[in-house]
Amino acid sequence: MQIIRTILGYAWAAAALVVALATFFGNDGFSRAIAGTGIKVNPKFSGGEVDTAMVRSGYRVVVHRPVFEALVGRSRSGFVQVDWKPDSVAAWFIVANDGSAGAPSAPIPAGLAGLLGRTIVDTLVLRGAATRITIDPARSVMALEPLDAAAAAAPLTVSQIDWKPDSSLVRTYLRTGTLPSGTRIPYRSIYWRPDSLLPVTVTDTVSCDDGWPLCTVRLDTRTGTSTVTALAPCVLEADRAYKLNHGWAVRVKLRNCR
Amino acid sequence: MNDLTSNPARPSLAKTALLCLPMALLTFALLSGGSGLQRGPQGLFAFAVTFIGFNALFFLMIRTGVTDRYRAVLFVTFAVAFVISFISHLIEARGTMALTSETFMAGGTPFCHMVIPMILIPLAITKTVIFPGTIIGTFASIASMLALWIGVTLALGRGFCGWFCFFGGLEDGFSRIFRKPVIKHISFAWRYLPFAVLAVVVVSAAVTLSPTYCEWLCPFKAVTEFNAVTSTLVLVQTVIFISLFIGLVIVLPLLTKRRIQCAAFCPFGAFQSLTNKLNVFGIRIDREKCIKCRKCIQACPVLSLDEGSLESGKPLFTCLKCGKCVDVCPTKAARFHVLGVPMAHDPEIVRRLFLYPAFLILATMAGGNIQDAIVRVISFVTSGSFIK
Repeated sequence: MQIIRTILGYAWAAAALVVALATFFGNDGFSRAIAGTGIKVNPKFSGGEVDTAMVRSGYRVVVHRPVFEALVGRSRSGFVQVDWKPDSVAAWFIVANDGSAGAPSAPIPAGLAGLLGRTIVDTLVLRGAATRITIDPARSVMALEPLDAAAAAAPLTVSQIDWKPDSSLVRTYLRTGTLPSGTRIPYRSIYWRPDSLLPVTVTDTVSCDDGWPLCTVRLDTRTGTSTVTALAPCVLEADRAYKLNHGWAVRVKLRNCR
Repeated sequence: MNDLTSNPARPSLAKTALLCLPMALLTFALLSGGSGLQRGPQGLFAFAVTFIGFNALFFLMIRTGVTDRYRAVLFVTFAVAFVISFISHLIEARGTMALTSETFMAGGTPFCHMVIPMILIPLAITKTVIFPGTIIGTFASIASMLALWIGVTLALGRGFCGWFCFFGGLEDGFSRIFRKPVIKHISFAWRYLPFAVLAVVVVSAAVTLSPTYCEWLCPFKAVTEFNAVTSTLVLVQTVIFISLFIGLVIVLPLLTKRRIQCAAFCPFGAFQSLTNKLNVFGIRIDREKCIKCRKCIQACPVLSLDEGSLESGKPLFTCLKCGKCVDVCPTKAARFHVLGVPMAHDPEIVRRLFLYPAFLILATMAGGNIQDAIVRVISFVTSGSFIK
């Protein structure tokens, strides 16, 4: 009996190495298997399933199903989430943080396809002086080239970010510095910012699944302030507005009237 | 030579090299990601340093018979590298360590193993995960981290905390700075507190459907990510987690030379102790060899050994399997153990059987972070920025 226990013990111990190897080499497969069980992120965090999507001029309004999450049954209070999403992402802009008057941004072709070859992107006007920005992917540098003597003397302040060529997202980080004009810096550290195509204010009526209007939500896309006009007794107030990667979302607090 | 004080004979250099060869091959495959070595001289340098360093440590473990000393080098380096790498990635991805509404709404929060005890009851009942992450397809996705947790738990049990948990390495590092503890006597009753914390966070998370430990208590938000302070409530939460980090992860480990957060607070550690039965490895104390010098009791970082352990011949089920007690035992009474295998069997064989999966898990988890941190440190030295 002891021999069997010993053999089983050693076999189990050896299996631990197999398990360790499978854990890492098979992580993708195991992850897919776990995801395949149908588990989802709780609607409290995801906003809930999409109920309706409405097309507006230049943007879409997505209304989620009301969420009354509880461990068992439905909670007494919940929310309904409304998303406003622009139809397309606007051109990317270089943002110069030099505080100079006027519009210091120059449009870049959407999709950043222009960055894949040596491209003179555009001319920035900073501190009243013209500066040409050249992006050279082969050498991974961005050159800020002064176009006149005044620009050559003027320091430039740029906000920097990271850009991943293999990503559809342009990721920002907080790094601002003052650079002498003409400085060569890695092009992947330029600040790009999408310009939302949403109108300055959007107003839409939210209905529940049986078609009765719940409320009207008005959102100022510049400030993120939202106001809710209740059209049904179960509507309490606007919870808060959330900036999305592209667009905005507002959650409206609801009372469970059922 | 007296049998009580004899050390196991060192394997020859050739035998040691042979024993290390599988680990060298496996770490090469796992660190390089199969075929994708990091491009560029900095990436190759980081890979070479990491690969050579890891295998040097494993070689020393096999050659000297010492476990914890070399484990700790890698474990602490892993924790530091994780902090550098993770924070740099956060800054790159979103510009701040603070969770933004974009991240929250996009489900972009990396999933952390500390959340696991809290999600299980809601998951069983509602089939949903109470965390603002993504099920699959992103960095540290929920499914990917759950798969890692299941595998490491099956392989190591509570050894998860001694060989996998990147947070534990921070405390481990701080606990080793002073030569002697300033606070020498700690009540063993503290080791039951994590179970109380576990019960509270599991119940509160199920009731509120929120990861309450993450929101209120997790000290490691100080080195990962946290809610932006936008209200008094969040300010209170911020004060709490920073205080807990300073107290439990820095000050008390420094003063006690123990992993106090793990020993007396961490609910995930308590949870792992409960899952430890799934695992075959453990520590045992040969009562015939034990001279009751208490060195193991003083050395145990998580208070898993006491006088009762010396009598019963085994530590409390909260043991991390770090091997520190095995290293300090002057008579080699403390040893690694495999369930079902008699104590009379060669303890070195059992130790090696444990080391292969344990070291492989630590090396694999640490490898990517350490390589990335090396590249970032080079970037910092040459360009003044950790951001690539």
